[in-house]
Amino acid sequence: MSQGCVSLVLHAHLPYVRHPEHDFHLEELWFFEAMHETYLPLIEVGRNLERDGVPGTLTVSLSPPLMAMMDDDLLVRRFRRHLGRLIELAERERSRRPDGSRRQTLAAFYADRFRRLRELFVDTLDEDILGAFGSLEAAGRFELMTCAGTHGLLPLMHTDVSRRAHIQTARRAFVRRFGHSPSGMWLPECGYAPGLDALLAEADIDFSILESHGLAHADTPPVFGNASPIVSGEGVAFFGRDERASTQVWSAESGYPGHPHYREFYRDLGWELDRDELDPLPNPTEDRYDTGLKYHRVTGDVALDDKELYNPDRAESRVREHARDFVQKRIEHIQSLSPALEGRAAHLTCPYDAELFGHWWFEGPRFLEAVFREAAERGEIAMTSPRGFLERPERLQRVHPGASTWGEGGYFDVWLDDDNAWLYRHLHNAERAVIEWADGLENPDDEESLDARLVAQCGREVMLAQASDWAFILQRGTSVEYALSRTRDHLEAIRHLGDELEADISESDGLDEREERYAIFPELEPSLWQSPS
Amino acid sequence: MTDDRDDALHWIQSGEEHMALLPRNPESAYLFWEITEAGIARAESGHDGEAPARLLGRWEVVDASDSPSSHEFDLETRVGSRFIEWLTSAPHRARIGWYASRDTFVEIARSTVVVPPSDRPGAEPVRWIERDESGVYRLESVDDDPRFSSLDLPSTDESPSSS
Repeated sequence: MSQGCVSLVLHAHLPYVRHPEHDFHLEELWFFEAMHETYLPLIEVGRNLERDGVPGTLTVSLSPPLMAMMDDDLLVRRFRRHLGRLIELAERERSRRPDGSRRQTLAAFYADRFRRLRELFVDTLDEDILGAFGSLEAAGRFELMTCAGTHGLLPLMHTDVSRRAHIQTARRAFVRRFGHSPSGMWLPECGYAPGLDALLAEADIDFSILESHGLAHADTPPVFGNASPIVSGEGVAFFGRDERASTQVWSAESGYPGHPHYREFYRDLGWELDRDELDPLPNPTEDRYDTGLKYHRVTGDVALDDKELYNPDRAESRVREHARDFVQKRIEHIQSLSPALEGRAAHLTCPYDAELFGHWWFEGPRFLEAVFREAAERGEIAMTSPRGFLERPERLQRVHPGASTWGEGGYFDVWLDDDNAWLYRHLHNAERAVIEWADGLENPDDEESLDARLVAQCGREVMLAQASDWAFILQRGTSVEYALSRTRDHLEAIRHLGDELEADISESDGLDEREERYAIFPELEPSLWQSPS
Repeated sequence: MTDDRDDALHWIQSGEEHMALLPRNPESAYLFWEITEAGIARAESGHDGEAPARLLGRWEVVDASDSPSSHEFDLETRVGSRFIEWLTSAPHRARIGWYASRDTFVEIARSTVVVPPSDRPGAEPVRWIERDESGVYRLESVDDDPRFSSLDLPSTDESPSSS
């Protein structure tokens, strides 16, 4: 009999990046890479577990921008084209490497892998990856949840109107795609501040996940620590992150992904081959970028040039070993907790960024599958979901969680520092402007009304500008120009469309183009941006 | 203090009074503001047209049960920002204005009241609830004495970072 429960929760998110104005746009590669390195491999994991009848549920949070990109015709078409180019590049590599060489074997490994993923995506899934997630949920393999709006850090927004717009829009986007309400909602960056539970409750959200000190620093300490969810005063359950499970996977020093046999992320053919050898990948700007073809393994604490060649079979052995270790440590942890739990089942919540598995840690999806198989074989823990755990008849503690995030330092420092704090003045101004315009609408639900369309688009633009990705990028100092250009683009669009609104024009110069370019949230109604009456 | 990067966004000034206090962590917060000539004039007219001798920004504790505490600084720019340190763990707000007399602070703009993030658990009684078959929670019992977890919960320093 299972002694306790473990929920693996993967939060899948990318900022909304879609550039129809260019045939090739560098930042769209973020989506393509995550598709073939993380999201499609996760579908493979779910299908393998379903095929073999391995029990357990994997919880997956799909952010609204990611869902919008996954079912966008333009991006799907471009992703298919990108996969075709990767297959061709891998085949060219196979041809030009010496026969029998390890590099030729690795090139063949990638060519086979890309072909397999293209077959899965195009032939099996009919290019509908959201449908595949939905099918796996229907089969009980996945539990799907979503995330607030465009992944804006809710506690740093100016008003509850804005926070509510993010939460309600996300709920509607999820319902449109999956036909039912989400039980859980991921808070961007696990960012919580007192009061957010009321907005989640308004949207009929049952649960969310917090960093462990969100519970530890609550108005009263949780009696069972992170081993049991708590329920807020508004009736929303919160699960605290199990820090031990996080460290085992995330830690740069001791985490599994740093094992010498695993694939090295930072050494990629895109930076090693001559430019003409990178054909057929486009390179209109002469910028180099990662291809996803990586021939080396972590090796150890050595310079990139000294990394040794990757061996997928050896890595696979480590995957099974690490899955056994992960399950064993969860069992031991649960056993150590049990005497203090007054007879109740322990529940460990293990949330991660989904893109860690496959994109950053190439072998990550195989690890996840191996964890489910190992847990089933051991039979001492149940791989469940937060929603599944809440269905058990348990008395829960009522607690008001404290402000927290899962970012460095545990609070808001990452998104509010010398490099990005200046953003919030503009975001607050934009928020207030959109609310004022929405409040001024006579018929906010008239979809044909130009004014209502202008306000709705301004709402989309401010939500896109609020995405926590931009502040994070500015703080990290990578892709800074893109983050700045996106923020500027959205805020200038709000000014332009707002000027048109205030000028009471009969025809807009730019609205059609903005609606087409940022084709996200068709369900966004201007009334969502109105002040409470 | 303003930032050169603001200028690129062409929205440096909204033309309205605005002051915001954003919690950063249990020690510090970010404060930003914008005031206008019109806002100053409105405040003047409410105080017999008395012009400000010296504009000040201040952040202050608003919890009456705590010892009154505030910190002031000379407002050198109408649009600006700064990181500040919380004075206590009680709720705070920020204001801009000037002293019309020793005890009268003429206000031009104020932030909402903000509670600093906590770095320790509270001491409220432990409450238990049950969830019925329809998913509705109801309060079942209250333990009079706070119970402290016998399970280890990490401090923020120990939490692994994901972002």
